[in-house]
Amino acid sequence: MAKYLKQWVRAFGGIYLTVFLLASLFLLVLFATFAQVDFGIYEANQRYFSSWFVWMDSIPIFLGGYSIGLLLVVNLILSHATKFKFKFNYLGIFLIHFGLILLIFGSGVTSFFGQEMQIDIKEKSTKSYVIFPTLFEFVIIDQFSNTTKDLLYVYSIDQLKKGVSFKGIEIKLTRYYENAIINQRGIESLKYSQLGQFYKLISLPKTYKMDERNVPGFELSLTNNSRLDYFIFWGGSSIYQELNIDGQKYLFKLRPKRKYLPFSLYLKDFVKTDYQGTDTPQQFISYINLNTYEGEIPYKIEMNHPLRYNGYTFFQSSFTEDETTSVFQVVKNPSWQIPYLSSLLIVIGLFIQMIISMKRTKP
Amino acid sequence: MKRILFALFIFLFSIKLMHIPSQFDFSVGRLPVLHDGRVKPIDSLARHELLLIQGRLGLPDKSSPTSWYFNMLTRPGYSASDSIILVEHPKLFDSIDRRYLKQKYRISEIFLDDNLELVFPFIQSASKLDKEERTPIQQASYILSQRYSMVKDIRQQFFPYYDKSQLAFWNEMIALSQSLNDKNPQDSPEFIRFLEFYDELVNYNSTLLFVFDDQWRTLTETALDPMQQQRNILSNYLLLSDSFQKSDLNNVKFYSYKLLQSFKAFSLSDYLIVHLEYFFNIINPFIVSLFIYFLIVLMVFFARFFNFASFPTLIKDAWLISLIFHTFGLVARSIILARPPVINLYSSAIFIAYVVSLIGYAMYAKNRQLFYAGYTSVLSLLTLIVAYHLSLSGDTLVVMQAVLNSNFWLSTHVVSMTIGYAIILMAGFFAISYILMGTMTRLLTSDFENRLSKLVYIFLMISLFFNFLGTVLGGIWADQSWGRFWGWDPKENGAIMIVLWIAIILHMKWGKLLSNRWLMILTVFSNIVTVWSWKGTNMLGIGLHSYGFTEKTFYWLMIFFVTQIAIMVLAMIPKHLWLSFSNNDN
Repeated sequence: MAKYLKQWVRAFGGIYLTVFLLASLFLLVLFATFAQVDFGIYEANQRYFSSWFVWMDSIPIFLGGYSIGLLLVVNLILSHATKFKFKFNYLGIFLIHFGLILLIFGSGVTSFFGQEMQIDIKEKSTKSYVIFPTLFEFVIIDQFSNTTKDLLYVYSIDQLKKGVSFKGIEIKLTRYYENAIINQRGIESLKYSQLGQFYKLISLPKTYKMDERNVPGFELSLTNNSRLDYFIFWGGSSIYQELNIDGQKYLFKLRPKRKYLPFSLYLKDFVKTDYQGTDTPQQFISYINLNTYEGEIPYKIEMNHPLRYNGYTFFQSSFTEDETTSVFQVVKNPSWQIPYLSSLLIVIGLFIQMIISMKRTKP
Repeated sequence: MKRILFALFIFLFSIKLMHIPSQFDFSVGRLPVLHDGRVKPIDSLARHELLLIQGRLGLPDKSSPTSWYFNMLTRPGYSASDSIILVEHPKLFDSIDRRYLKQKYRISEIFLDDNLELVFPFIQSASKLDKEERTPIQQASYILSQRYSMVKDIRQQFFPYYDKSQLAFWNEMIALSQSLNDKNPQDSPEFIRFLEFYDELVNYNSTLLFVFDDQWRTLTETALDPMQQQRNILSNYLLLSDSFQKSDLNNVKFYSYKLLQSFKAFSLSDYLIVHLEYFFNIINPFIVSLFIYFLIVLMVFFARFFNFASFPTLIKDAWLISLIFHTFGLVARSIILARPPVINLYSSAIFIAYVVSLIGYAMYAKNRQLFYAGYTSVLSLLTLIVAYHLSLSGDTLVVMQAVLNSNFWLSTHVVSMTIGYAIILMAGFFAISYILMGTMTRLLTSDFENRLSKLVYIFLMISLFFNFLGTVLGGIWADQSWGRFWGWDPKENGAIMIVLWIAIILHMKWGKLLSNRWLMILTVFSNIVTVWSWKGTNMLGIGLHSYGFTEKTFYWLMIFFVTQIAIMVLAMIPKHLWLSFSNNDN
């Protein structure tokens, strides 16, 4: 038994596996690059890197990024456990390999726990929540029964597909489009209430372009005792529709998934400067106030100078055409320091190894 | 003595390649303009615009870009019948004349005045589409319409004409306006005439910014300024224009000197930088060093096969001179832009050639191996040729977009990436010389074989360091700017592919899975990986690094890949059939 174990350990710590994994990763990166042309960067990365296998229909055709990363870590640890003895000549290699393990570990953590969000703030206004630009949520808001604070009931699209019950009303999703727009109806529809009376959903093919996003829309049936109502919702609409249950009024809406922050941001001013005599922007700067429990903190966010606060990082990302609204990319990444540390180790290791090999092999 | 004669020879040779200005050019070519966000001499603008319109710098009548441009500004109808507007599709005007049935030809402005309407439908449909969605004929028509309007625009940058003179227009307009102030009847013939002049001036589409004391303004803007504060300077510009039209050299010198003096008083630093750029244009340093590298290749050939004893020393001299030009060019570019030497694809090619040349020179100076000289100068020569072709797409000294506007990251990330590219290309070309020498000549001794494989190994190690360092620095930059250390952008993929490929080769070598021959074959493949990462990834047109790509690049890229694969296949023939190893049997 121990003999077999030893053989396995040797195989998993062996150079053949190392070369195989490096070559697989090389090919994976190459295929992913080509896939990015068709599917866009985000979708291709989901399929190739943030996955255990690359699937073609339902057949796994190649190792995904997770598998290769995990196997590389196993390979590295086992090879050090079995083959390498600590000598000064190997110091560089130790640093490189330890750094690599840390780097792969860190990117795993980022992949599972990192969040990318967005916030846009109009000049002279305050916002305290960020949105997930690719995720949507269905909310029912009770603004009226509680006078101090809105009550929020949030449902995901998957929950709606199964059907949910709210205060005795059965809500069920009857039609769903991953990407849609709404358009005015030629003739009023009597089937739908409110928004759906005048507007209809038009399905669009799913888009993979960098500068476009998929905005879902759906149709809901609401059964209250024996009464049946149909509503349509579209993720890009700013309208709240109203719902009456036993004389009690609620608002409901499909909107980009929100996350409320324990602080808020006030945009004092957004400034864009161009190179003189051109339309090429030279710098974007947002002057903001951070409203926290400890008080107000003024801050300047510009390109290459993000704001890090409370685990969130705010990056200047874009702005609206009239230059009054500033858009920030918001990132929450618990392991953002790991790549810095691991890369430093690897770079030092590579440097040592380079010097050693230059000294040893004199041409 | 020989060395002095040789230096003299190189000097004369270089002069031939420089753009020595005529007295007219020297006067007007240094005048500053603000264009594309940067203060530059008119000479640079002239070259840049001419390249965009013509696809090359040489004019049919052999005049210089500056003289062409300034004539366009100041002489009505100048050059209108010269065939200078590049057309890049055979099917645009072949209905007019069969001789237009070719891929690339040039036509005149007058021809287009009459016939542009033929391609209007293509231009219109092209303008509604993104570049990638256009058909070749749409794209060619669209580019043609842009070139045509560039020519028309240049004619509107200076001033309108009256009686074929720009100064006369201004004088007439002032005289009219003064006669108005005296009487001021609203419908007098003077007033109507004044309005005609005024309208023409207002509708003049000038966008080029000239210097007026401490401001950058167009000539018409200054003329219409109600305060008329800079009237004197405006007059100087128009006097310059008139003297230029009359080919009056003394006055051209006088007025341009006056204008330059006022610019100097406004900003001495800009004044010096404009002069540095002008000097840079004259010296033409990269082309000069390109030809010297070519000369070195020839000299290595002669020294090797005809045993010219003095050549090894002369090669070193030539190389040093070439490096001086190359260094001057890089330093001048950095000063002009106040940026590190690498800011775009073009400058990365220049920089790769520089790093290669520098390392090669150090190696050659140490042990005078002709092989190093020949090999390095071929590689530098090739990269400079690539750079030359990249420079044909227009101005290579550009301002940086906001997100790239960071000298610290540009200088660390981009420079170490580029050094990494240069060194791995050197390793790849060592491998190529190994294969070519081994298979086709008897020059590859076992001693030399060992040395080459050690060199390849060391260069792979060094480039692994620089490539990894550059990639990591890029990651840190991305983390600082967008909050993600790594985003699998195509360029990032390319960078990691180089690192992975080197890691594969090195691990196989350490694991003793590689013979010398296979080490070389895999290293040749690294050329493909490197060039893919350096240029190919930009072609995909996605991600943050997708700057600049032309269809021609694709064509050359394919040729390069095919040659590399051919060399790899060549190396796979059994070793006893290699010319260098076959004589062991005898």
